[in-house]
Amino acid sequence: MLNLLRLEYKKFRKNSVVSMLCFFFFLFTPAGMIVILGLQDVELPPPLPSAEMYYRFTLVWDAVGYIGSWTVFFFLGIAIIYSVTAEVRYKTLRQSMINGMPRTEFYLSKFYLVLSFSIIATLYYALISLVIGAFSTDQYDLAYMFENEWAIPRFFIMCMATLSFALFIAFWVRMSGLAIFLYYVYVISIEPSLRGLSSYFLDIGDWSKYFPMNIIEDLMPMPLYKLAGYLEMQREKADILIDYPIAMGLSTIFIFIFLGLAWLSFRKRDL
Amino acid sequence: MTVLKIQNLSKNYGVIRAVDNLSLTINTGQIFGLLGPNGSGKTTTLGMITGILSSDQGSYEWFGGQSKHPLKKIGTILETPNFYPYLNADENLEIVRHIKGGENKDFTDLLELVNLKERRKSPFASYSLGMKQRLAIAATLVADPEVLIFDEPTNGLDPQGIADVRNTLLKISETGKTIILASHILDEVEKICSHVAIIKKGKLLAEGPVGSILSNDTTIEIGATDRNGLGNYLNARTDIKSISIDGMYYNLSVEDGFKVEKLTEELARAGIFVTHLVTRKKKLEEEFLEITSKA
Ligand SMILES: Nc1ncnc2c1ncn2[C@@H]1O[C@H](COP(=O)(O)OP(=O)(O)OP(=O)(O)O)[C@@H](O)[C@H]1O
Ligand SMILES: [Mg+2]
Repeated sequence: MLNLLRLEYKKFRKNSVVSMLCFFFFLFTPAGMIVILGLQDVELPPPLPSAEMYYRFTLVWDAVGYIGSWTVFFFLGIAIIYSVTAEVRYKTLRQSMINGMPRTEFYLSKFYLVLSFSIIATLYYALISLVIGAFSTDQYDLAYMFENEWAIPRFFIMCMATLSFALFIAFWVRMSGLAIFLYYVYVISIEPSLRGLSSYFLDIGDWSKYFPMNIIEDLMPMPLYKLAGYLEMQREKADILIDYPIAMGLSTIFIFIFLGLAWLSFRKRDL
Repeated sequence: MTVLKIQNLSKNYGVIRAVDNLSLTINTGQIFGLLGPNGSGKTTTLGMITGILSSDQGSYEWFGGQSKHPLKKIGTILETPNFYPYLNADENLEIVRHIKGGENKDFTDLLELVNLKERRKSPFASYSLGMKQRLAIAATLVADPEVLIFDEPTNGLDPQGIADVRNTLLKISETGKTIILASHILDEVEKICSHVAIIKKGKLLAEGPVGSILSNDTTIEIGATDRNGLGNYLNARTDIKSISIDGMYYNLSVEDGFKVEKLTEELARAGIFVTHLVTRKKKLEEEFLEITSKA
């Protein structure tokens, strides 16, 4: 595993696109917290707690997690797609096979990239949440600090699921622009439309929330939903969320599905 | 020893039969030319034996099936040089080495061989076409492979670039490695290769040592002021195997022992005076055109 990761490092350490995307991830995950501060003042009706709540334990885990789910999607997801499609474009994927790298190893090297990105992003998430929480909360003890409903493994599963999806799109579509477009559009508009259409025409009611990206998003939902539920102001809205254990289980299944589909798209294809 | 054995290999692209029931055997130390016009299936064949294209029928076997990762012992250029554009020569070669598992991390000798030592620290994207091609040749030699495969290594190069690449290939061929060279340039194959297979439309037309494919025929290029008289006279002779017109002159294909001086003497006696005469061994090029035009 380390051998394959070292190879990926040699390939991309000098690549400006990948470096830039990683830099943006590290920058915008904490920086996004500032944005939340600005938005809260505008949107929330008076009875809700002040925006500073989001900086304190235990809500800080939800707030950073929500922002993290978008920075992982935008920056790390696109970095993963690029790491595959750039090799298609430069024909170095082809050349690697010609040079004797088995397809399994090439695939594994990209899977390990997904795995290490997920681990690093999760550690970074925990670090940011703890640091912001520690500076903003007046009184806390260790138990209270980590009172977060499995937020760390949840974040990790969210990363794995999002990046596995990116990996599948990359191996399947193979052209940089189209793959990134599809990845983005699927999450932003295709799946939401499908959900809308299916619940409208098929009368599946609540089931439309079990589309893959929605499940993954519900691992790290917008903290507003939770607060709303907590205040019993928007009960219905809170209900549209999937319970964490179910979302974690289903997302794990989707991780395997995406990884499997990525492998199937790559296994036999002419290069 | 058999390096590569191809048996009845075929591949279709839709209705196009790119490779048609091809069988070949290549042995250690051969410099094997795969010769065919554009679109004859050379690259497709090489793609299948290097595992990047699937075949529809048939099989191939490297090193008698003895090697677990045969491709790691083969250095290949297929069509174009493929490298990471933002990495320099050393970094790109290091990636090849990492995959192939060679020990030597110093590429100075290789870069010297292909004359790229001065530019080794510039990114690949900044190289000229010739430099890219030369880096690709260097990359095939990383980790000291037993077999080298070159697909049109001089494609798109200027005359100087072609000469450089050919000289490098000749140097490599002296090291005793087995080489497979696909080309539509006959001159190239003739100069470098010991064996040749001629393919067209995916089919094998002829195969063997370059000397045996090259027949012993001689070509005579001949011209006279009285062109029609010359033509009539030549057509009447029975010891000329074939006659074709090439611009001002006739091209005659004759047996090896043909006496040219007798021909000119007889022509003079018939009142036809020769103004132009060249005799030479028949070249692979003519052989190639003859073989492929019959198919
Ligand atoms: N990806 C593809 N899709 C469809 N047809 C293809 C594809 N690749 C090759 N072909 C067809 O297969 C045939 C053989 O092509 P190939 O590239 O193997 O020829 P070649 O001998 O390498 O030619 P060249 O000298 O031009 O490189 C051609 O008719 C070509 O059009
Ligand atoms: Mg070709």
